[in-house]
Amino acid sequence: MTDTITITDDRTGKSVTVPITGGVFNSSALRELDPNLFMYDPAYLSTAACASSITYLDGEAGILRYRGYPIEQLADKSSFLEVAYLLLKGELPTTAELEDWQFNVTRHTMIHENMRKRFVDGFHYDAHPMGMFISATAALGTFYVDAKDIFDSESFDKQVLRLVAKVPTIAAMCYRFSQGLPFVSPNNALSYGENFLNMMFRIGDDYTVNPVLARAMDILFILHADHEQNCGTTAMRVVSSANSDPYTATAAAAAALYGPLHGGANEAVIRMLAEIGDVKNVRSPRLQELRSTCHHHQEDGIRRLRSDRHEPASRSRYRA
Amino acid sequence: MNPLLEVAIALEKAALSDEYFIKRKLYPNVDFYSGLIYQALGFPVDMFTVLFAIPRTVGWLSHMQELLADKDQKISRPRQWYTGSDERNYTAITAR
Repeated sequence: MTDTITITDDRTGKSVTVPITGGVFNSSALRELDPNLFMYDPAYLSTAACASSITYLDGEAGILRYRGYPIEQLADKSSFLEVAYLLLKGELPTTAELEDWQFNVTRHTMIHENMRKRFVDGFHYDAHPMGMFISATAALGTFYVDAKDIFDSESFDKQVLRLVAKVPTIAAMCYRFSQGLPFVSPNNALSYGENFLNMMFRIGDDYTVNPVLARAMDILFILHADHEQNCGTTAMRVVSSANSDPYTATAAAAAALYGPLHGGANEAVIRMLAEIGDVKNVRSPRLQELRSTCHHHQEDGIRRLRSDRHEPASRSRYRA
Repeated sequence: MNPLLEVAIALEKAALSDEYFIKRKLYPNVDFYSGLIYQALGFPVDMFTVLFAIPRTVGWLSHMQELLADKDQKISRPRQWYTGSDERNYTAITAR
């Protein structure tokens, strides 16, 4: 038997009964009752704005799965580029598919010289790397005449490949500029994480990437690859819904991430730890303070849609 | 060793044994330690959000692709609850 919900308009006595599927009912039921009746839902906390088969998240139960695969297994056994393939294509790649994908990503890591010489060099010396990253990602799209052909799947896949391959180059470029260091060209013989660390930290010729650090980088990339419909992803979807190109939409999503409530959690942790300063200062008053912070942000604790029920999931001020 | 790592471990231990945190199922997530790992890798704090954006680009593009293939989707256009003034007449600047 299907679960249903019945909504009655007490002004007219009219009722409508609709099925509940996967913890969701279709809001078109309301329009049946009264086409001018809307739900007031600030920040969309009780709205499923899309159906999605990419990521399953249950923060309270500690569950994160990409395309059904638990994050623990992916972090332990997979690589970031394999996970990227899984997220984008929906299935894990075969050996041949993975080799092909890795080859293509590593052959698209270069960016146009003018991106650096004419664009990034124009920033003020103390520009924030994230501000540069957002602008440079949007600017990257202007180098590709086919960027706007989003309904041609071959072209769309090409833009995806370019973005996945070039964002580490852009990120490293922004860092090197902010440090006043010369730009390091991508090295296609290295893995995704190794290449990024090499572009970030190489000074002169005597630098080799530590394999432990490269693996740590790769795992952190896996853990952060998706977190379903958060602020940045919603920005991505809203901008994409106007059929903007993938570079512009990615820049918009990154702009949302730049907001301290979204992408600033780990930075805030470092600040808090630095403020505590020493193990001897970790005592009850500190916990008291943490408590009041948690409590305050619990008031607007978000409700996440789950397959069978609604429950508050995140109690944190910061939403990854 | 980064002295902040010791603080973080002590803080996690204290919070996890505190009734308030246990009752509300509050526990540290990936963001509690990722900053310390980034610091250990040599990244300055200003780069943390950029490090987040690199892999998340894959997630964002996966969602864009899914959206473009979804026949139910249209251009986003939420409604508003208008709480402003009702219609009123323009008054000359000298009459305000």
